[in-house]
Amino acid sequence: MRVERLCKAFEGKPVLTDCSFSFPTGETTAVLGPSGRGKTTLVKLMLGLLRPDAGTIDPEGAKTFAAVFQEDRLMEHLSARKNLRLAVSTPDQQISEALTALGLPARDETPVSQYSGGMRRRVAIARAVLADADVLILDEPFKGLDPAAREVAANFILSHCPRAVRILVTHDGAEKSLMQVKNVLDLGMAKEA
Amino acid sequence: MKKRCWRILAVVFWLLLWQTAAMAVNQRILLVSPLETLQALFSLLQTAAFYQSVAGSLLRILAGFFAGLVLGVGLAALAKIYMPLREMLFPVMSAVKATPVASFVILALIWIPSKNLSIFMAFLMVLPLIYSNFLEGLNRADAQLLEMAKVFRMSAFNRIRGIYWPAAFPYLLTAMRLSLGMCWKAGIAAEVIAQPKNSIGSALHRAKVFFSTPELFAWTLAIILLSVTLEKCMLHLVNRLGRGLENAR
Repeated sequence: MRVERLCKAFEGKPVLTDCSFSFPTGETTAVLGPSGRGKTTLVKLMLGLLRPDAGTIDPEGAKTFAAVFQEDRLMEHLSARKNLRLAVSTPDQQISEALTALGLPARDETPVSQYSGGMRRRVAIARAVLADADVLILDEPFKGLDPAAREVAANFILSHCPRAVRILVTHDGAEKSLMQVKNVLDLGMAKEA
Repeated sequence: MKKRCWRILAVVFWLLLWQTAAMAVNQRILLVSPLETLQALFSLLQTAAFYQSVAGSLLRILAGFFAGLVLGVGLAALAKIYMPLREMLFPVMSAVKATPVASFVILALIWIPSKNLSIFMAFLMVLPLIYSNFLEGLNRADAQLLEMAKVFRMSAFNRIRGIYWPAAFPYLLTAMRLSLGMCWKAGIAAEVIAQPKNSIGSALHRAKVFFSTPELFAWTLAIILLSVTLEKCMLHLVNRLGRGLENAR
């Protein structure tokens, strides 16, 4: 997947200027940069949730997208299992396995609104991974998880999405190594350069 | 518990005040006591005409209510999708909401047979309320969840179940509660004017014509009791339906 000279401004204030980068398949690329430098804007542009003011996004054959958003974005009144069922067309057995692998109860009917922050985050991760998409965008995916849960979640993502274009938005160096980051797009540097 | 005690005390207080006022006036034609009202109601309960009237009114008003409910929900869903329809419906719904019941009753009597007047009035009370509330609920659907649904290519049915329905359901419930009471009252009022066969409105009118004040009070009490029962049954049913839809898969 490639973005070419991507520009986006909000109310005349440029957030992303001339951003070009290639995101290789089967590898994790980290998108770094201080707050307000357009990391989330870039993510939304790539997911088709925003239109660029200028520049192009070439999916290079990628057709399906999935994301762990900064917010969990779960359907609060539904259980973890139903959240997954509604968002992804995965067999029940795989859903149970994913929930168990991430340390979540597989047959629990409790609405996710009653889950802890860490549990909710893991449901959001399971949803993105089970979508089996060509491009997987992870916007601060391990927020609220303890170190052990982060490691489990990172291994789960890497083992289930080995061929996807993986894009990790993070501030955290440890997350980069957990996700075996090979490429870095530093929006802070790009701006200053 | 304390609140419940106060509520019972309040009811007892007003009943006593009513009884005292009836005793002070001492003219059954002007004001009957609560006891006389209850006696009249029990007499009514022993007649077949009472049940025929209640069934006739219930059927007509519920028919109007459900027609308004179905059309209101359907139009709101379409209006959410098609902006031009929303704009086209805006002045109509606003006008229907603002028009007094009496104006509609008189106009409707020119257009439709009197036996169907209460159906039409109930329908008119329900339609704009359900439409505007349900549309408002649909508009309150979480924008972030809708973005998620777009990214994950969720089907229209799953979007409705997971995102739109939970957002709109509380609004629909409020609208149903409000409109059920309104359409019940408007329907009975329309029956008083149109006097269809087997209706509470006609019975009320007859009681007034024959100066049978105890019967008038008894019918009014029956209307109140039926209204409360109807609202409770309907909300129970809707709540069950709502949960059923959430657990459908």
